[in-house]
Amino acid sequence: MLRRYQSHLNRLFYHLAPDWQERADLAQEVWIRVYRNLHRLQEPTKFRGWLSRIATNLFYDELRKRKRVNPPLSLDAPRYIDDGEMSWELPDDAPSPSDDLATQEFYEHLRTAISQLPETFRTTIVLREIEGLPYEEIAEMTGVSLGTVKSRIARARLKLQSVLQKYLDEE
Amino acid sequence: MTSKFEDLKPGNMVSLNHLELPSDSFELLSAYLDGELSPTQRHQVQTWIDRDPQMKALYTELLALQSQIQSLEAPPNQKTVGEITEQVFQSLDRQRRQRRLVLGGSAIAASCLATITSLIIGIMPSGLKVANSPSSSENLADSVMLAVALNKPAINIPNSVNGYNIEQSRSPKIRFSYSFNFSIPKGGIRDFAGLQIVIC
Repeated sequence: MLRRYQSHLNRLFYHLAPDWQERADLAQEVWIRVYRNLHRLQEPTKFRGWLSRIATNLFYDELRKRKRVNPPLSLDAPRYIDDGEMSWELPDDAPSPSDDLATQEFYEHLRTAISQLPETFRTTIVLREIEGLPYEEIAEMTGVSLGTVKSRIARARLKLQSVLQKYLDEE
Repeated sequence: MTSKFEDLKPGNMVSLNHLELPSDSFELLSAYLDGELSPTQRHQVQTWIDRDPQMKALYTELLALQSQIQSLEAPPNQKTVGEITEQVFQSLDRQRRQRRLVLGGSAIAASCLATITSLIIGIMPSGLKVANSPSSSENLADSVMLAVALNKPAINIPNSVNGYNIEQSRSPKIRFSYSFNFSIPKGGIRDFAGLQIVIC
């Protein structure tokens, strides 16, 4: 089970918390919780969703802990908008020398762009696109309204779209 | 491209790929992509895409972006699956041992407490021992006897009892007074259930 789902967990944590060093420890803690609570899983076919929920809850616990201990500090003086913090650096505009490299470069830029999204937007878009969760479930998990989820996903897409426009045009 | 997060505030226009559209429409297009619209809204967005080539181009781009995000891989984990498995089971074993230790400790503490308590009771002087309270059946018998005694007074209460008057005194206390009409010769004594009335 661990072998089968660990890569999924790794991918989820990577996109939820790209700048955390202890992602492997988080994954380990998820598996400990899974083993302890496996008897509570009513429908084994829903294991993946159940695992994702444990992982996301753990991510939020950790996020809250970090916010309490180390309030975010940036020399770039991030701007604050009504729906979260906005700190934006565009990826560089280096030209793409070949198709393969362009693809790699595109994915690199995409990863960077996602990691640089403000935390609330990043979490929402990752839960939607990486986890494939419906809006309602994301709203429940993140503790916001359905309308906010809808808006955050659209905003995140708009930002990613505008940043990666030239790569998308080349595709 | 100058899209900002503020662009999606209601009423704002979104400028993307030479297309300007209201932010609400962009939100609808985004939700359409996720299949999160009502049938009416879905039909509305479908009409936009069918009729407006720029809208269709934007939709195609968003679709491509969605597919690319979904296929985005993460760099390999710092630990191998084997390492994580080993550490998970080590941690589970450690927790199990700690739980056993706590349970064992609690059991030892409880037995020590029981021993100490029994020793204290053993050396306690007999006068300090807890008195045995009568059983509930004895209590019940006593209360039945009391009820019988009250229902059948030891002497006959005169028939001519008028009852009692309640008078409101100056103080807020209520004073009860009974008046009885019965004849007792002067110097005589009558005994009402242990209460002696002497007429002087």
